[in-house]
Amino acid sequence: MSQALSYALPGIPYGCTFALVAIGLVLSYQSTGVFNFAFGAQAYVAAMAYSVMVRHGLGRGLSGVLAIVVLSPLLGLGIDRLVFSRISPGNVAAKTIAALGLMVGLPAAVTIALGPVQEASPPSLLFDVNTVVLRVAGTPVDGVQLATVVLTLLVVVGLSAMMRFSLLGLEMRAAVESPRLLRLQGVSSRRVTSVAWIVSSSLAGLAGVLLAPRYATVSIDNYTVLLVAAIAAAAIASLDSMGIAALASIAMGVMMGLATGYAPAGSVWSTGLLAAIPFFLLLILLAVNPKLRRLGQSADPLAGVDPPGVPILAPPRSPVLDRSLRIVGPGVLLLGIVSVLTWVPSSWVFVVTAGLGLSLIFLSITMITGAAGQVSLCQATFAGVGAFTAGQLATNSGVPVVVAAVAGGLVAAGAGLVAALPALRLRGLALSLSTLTLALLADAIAFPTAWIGGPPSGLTVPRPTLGPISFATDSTRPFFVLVLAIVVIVGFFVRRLLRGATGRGLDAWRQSPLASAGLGYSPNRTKVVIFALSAGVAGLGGGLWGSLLQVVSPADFTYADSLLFVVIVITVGARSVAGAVEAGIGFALLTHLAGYLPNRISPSSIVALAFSIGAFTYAAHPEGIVEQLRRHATVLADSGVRRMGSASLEVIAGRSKR
Amino acid sequence: MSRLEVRSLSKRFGGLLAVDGVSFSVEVGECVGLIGPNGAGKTTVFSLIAGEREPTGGSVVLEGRSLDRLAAFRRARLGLARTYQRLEVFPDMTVLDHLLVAQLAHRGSTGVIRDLLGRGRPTQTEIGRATDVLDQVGLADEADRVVASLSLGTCRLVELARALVTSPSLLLADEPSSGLDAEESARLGEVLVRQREAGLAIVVVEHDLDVVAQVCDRAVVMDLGRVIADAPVAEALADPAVRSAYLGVGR
Repeated sequence: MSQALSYALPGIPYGCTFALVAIGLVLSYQSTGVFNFAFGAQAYVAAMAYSVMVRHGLGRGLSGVLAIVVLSPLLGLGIDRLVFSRISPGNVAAKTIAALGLMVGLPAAVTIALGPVQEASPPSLLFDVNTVVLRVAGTPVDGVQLATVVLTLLVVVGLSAMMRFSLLGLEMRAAVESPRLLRLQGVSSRRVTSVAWIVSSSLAGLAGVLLAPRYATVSIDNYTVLLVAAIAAAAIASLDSMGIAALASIAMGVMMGLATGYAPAGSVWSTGLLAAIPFFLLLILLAVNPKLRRLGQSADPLAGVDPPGVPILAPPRSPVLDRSLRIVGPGVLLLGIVSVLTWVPSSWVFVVTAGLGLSLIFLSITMITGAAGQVSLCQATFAGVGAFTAGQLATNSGVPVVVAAVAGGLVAAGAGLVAALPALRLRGLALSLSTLTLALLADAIAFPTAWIGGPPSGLTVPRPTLGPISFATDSTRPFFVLVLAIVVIVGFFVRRLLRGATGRGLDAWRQSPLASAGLGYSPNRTKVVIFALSAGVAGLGGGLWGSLLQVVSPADFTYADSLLFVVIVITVGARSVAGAVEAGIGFALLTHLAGYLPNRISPSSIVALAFSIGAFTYAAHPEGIVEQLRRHATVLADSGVRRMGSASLEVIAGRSKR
Repeated sequence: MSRLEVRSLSKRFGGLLAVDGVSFSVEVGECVGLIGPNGAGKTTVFSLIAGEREPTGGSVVLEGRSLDRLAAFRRARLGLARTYQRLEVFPDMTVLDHLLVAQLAHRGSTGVIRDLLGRGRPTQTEIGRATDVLDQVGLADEADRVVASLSLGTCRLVELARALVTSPSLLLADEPSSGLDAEESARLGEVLVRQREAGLAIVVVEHDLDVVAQVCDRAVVMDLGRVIADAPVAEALADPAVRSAYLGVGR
């Protein structure tokens, strides 16, 4: 009994760490209507700031105050004013995508500001890890643990009271429900929402600073894992009650404490699976709790008075322009391909080939996000499944690598099918959450296993040979042709899906599920098939990508890559095959170019930041920036051609008059 | 056999009995006006017939076949079509696309494999059928307009065209004339009358009694979840119980 107690007790402060984040999620969901994927990133920013200030001798107290009471509220205010206040409350997709953009952009911004260095974890804000403050039933409780528990209690009670009993809390809940009705009552909904963001961001700061000493380094990955674990607790509370979320967190902590105590040391169970308990819990909850499936669906009684969204530009075109565009587009493409095959230096050929390989993975996002309108956050994981399958088959079983890559695609499609079946009933936020969880599970458990992700030194994926042609020469050109051919073939079929019955049906379903069901449409089977197919395309892309790199490791296919990929594709244009290819090649070129920046700026961070800022434009241009620019240019050119046309008509008319 | 039979349908929302033992039937080529004051439960009855909500009790029979265990999309494929009180259009699509997607969905042929084989595009017959229906409701000139750019009244006509394009056997029209101008309203009446004469069974929820008088043979009057009258239109409107409930006379 006393043994069980000694295992369970440390679980309470551990659970409280989840609780702080879970409360933050519930609070921001209730007070801003945003399911805040960026909460972990906000906590990370505060923790980094605190750590750096302490390292520069500012003192723990002052640093803590600056990070939690000054920086975090400002960050919250900035996020509200610059990002979310520009998105209409009913636009769930745009809110989710903006939050994902922040989740990618904030850590990138920190890396750019501080340089790509590891930040050792700072000393604790209150008390100390090594001081035993008191003993409960013989178990020592250190200062950090005590502070965590006490602060969590204070936060739960304080914030619950604020939401339930204060006028501000009432206004916050009203602002989420219907900002218009609130404005009609003479309350500025903008101000209320800003205050809500300031409060929830401060809470993120508090959680970040308080929890930083628990880890060896201050790293965004720790906060993401914490975030998803906390989502499980928040999900138990149906994002409804901070008290229940806190209790669930503590129960989860105690459960994990007990499991740690009783699990045989050194087993797989104690290293990987244990930390994954909250993930499994979340997957189950998402599948069984019908309330969670409706997350984020707004029910604003005044939504009907919203002006209709801006229709996507589709100008009537002059035939002259149409004909010349039909020549110019393919012409530029052909010129590019010929250039790559002839005079472009081979280091750049590699970059373009990498971009093409990526665009294959990106095409999988076009299928699931562009066509089905669902944000899947594990496409890099599927690419990893493909790459590792290809590598294992090619190196260990001697299968030709092209066959191995196709097999990788098939295995990934199988994985996608398995992942899609429970996700069948999920959509919107719930689907994004469950795919994010799957990505984290793969990162934590599957990929580090040697028979999947290969040895720690990396898994070799050879370059292919096709009969007499070897693609393993020093030049990447032959391989470029191979990848190009595969992209063209896959792109051709994806285009058929987008423009065919599948695309139309999914489009209708995304815009009005009620009416599409009323017409006889049922998306379920299509969704599963699309999900599996897109996983297969990602897997094939991963195999080719691996073959290009020649060595792959789990670090190449993390959850963070999945996030970044989605953000990139959505920013550039998720609705077309061209968008995916532009995104792939553009991303590769930009990253390569960013390598010429001064050394202390990490090229990948600056590119990630750029694309995540792009994601904020989704609300205004759901078709993507490039697609929007193209349409805009066409409209301009069109009116130009018309004006020229009418001018010449006038000249002719004038002549005939004379 | 009646085209549609509704048998003692009821629906409870918590403590509120929104629909209380509603029964009526619609014959082939008949148009029934489902009328009554706001909150009488008319739209709820529609959503129960269409399968969007599960009834607390009672059953719905279409052409002798019970629909009770069928999901909304299966009922639609059996020939049940509807329009909505609160618009349910696809804002980013063109008018023509609405009618094409309706035909695809109705056939249940939105499969991925067909698309991959290149057979997913709408056929000439489907496009022809869509153009015909657009002509009928007077939307031929708007075929290529994106729906988000259309007026409320035009959107209602788009919904009607979308419902008619699959040649349903039963049409549930929920306040089709609200938001329409006089000309559109008249055209709507003509379309409904012509469809009725072609054998379509129609149920209309409608507040405009002129439209009801123009297109309906019979009126089923609801109040507080119950049917209080079921008679030819003129007779039903003269019924003292109806006058008291619906027109507020003597209440």
